Amino acid sequence: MQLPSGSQTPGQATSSEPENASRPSVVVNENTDISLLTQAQLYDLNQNLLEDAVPNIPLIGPLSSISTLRAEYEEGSRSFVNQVDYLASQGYLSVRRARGDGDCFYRSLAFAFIEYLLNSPQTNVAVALATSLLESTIPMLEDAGFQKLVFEDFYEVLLSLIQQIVVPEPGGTTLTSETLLEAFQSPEVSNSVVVYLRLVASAQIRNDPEEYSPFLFHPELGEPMGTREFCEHFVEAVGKEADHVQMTALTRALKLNLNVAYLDGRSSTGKVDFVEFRDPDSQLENGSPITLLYRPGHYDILDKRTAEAL
Amino acid sequence: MALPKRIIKETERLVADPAPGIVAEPHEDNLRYFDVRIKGPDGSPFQNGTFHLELFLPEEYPMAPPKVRFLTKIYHPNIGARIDKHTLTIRLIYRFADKLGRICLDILKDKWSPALQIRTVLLSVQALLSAPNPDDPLATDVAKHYKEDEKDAQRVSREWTEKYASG
Repeated sequence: MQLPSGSQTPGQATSSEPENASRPSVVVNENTDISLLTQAQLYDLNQNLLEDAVPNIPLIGPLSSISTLRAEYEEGSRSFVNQVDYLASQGYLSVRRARGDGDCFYRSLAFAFIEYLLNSPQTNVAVALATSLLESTIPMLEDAGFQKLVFEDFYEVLLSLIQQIVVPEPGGTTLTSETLLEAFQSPEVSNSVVVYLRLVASAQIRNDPEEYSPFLFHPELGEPMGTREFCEHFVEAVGKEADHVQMTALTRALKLNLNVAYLDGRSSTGKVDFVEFRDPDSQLENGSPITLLYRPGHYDILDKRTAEAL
Repeated sequence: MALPKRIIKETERLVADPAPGIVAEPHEDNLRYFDVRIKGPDGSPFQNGTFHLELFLPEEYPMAPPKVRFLTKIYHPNIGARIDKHTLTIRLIYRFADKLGRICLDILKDKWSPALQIRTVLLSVQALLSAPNPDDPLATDVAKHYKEDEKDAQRVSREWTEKYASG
């Protein structure tokens, strides 16, 4: 996982070995100075926290107060707590958790995107724009070499979810926050959407190799990779987490504006850096962009509303 | 549950437009279960052989990979042995029990992507016959043989092809 690099902490073993050559398991208590942990240790720590705390949480969870996020760090890390408080001060009152299965970026983004459409003041317009955008991804996938039979089932799942915002299901209603959540908690629907977005991100990269190839590196070995190999192994393959390049590709393909809040416990002031992905052609933007919460190895959704307000 | 459109379309294409040297036919009573015959590639020790495989599409397909295994006995470092009841001892049965015809191929495991298809899987298996990889073995004895004496290992592969894959 490539992150904006922090400074080397004195006293840490300086070596040219790859960070994951030896990974002592980390015991964290109130005396742990998070800033002395390596990226790899931080990653492991977060993964363990997530797995222990909620072993099998739903694929996407309900909105919960940001105080539950704060509570995760109250026993251990002052710097994380400060960062959570900073987020709250910026108006982020809630967090919606995704399961840490390597698909959480795609799943979180997809959910937040559809919810964004659902909450548009003019849903007809928003859905029409999104539909037309989605339709344009078909020739894009075909240009990249994906056959229609491979992806059309996934495409239809995503399209019909979006359409359901304005067109009621036969014998049913239009999409609501509750039914959207239900859909995203059902593996069949949820995973189809994830797969489709992976293919879109991959097609975006494959169709523009000059633009993206300087950024294609093996996430663990750090070696440069060819476009096709990178896309097959780290974009299209299920459960492979997204990094900066996949996020750029997908937000460009969907013409989305996205903020990612980096919660890494490394700020002395508690301030949280937001990485911004902006598309100049975005027609769907009105109000705050979609905001995801990033902690090493994992993505959730941040929301300025409260669960009660929904 | 009705078969997903994709499986139906893939099957139609497999039957109507098979890849050279590969035949895959679904069972009448279980459309997720395929009988597969792969011709040994020319230039490989498996040439002139016809290898029977079975391929099964689990419920999660295409999110999860197809399950594929060899039914025909084959001497290949990346393909497990079939049990031959008449010749194997208890010791060998214990060792091979969970490797019946299994294929060590990355796209069938951690490198699977729903962008791949039945067709691509079978083509990869066929390619594996042309290019055995003893550094990532499933049948460790065979792999050792291939690493220590490739010519002799290939001789055995050819003998087994003639003996077991001529049907």
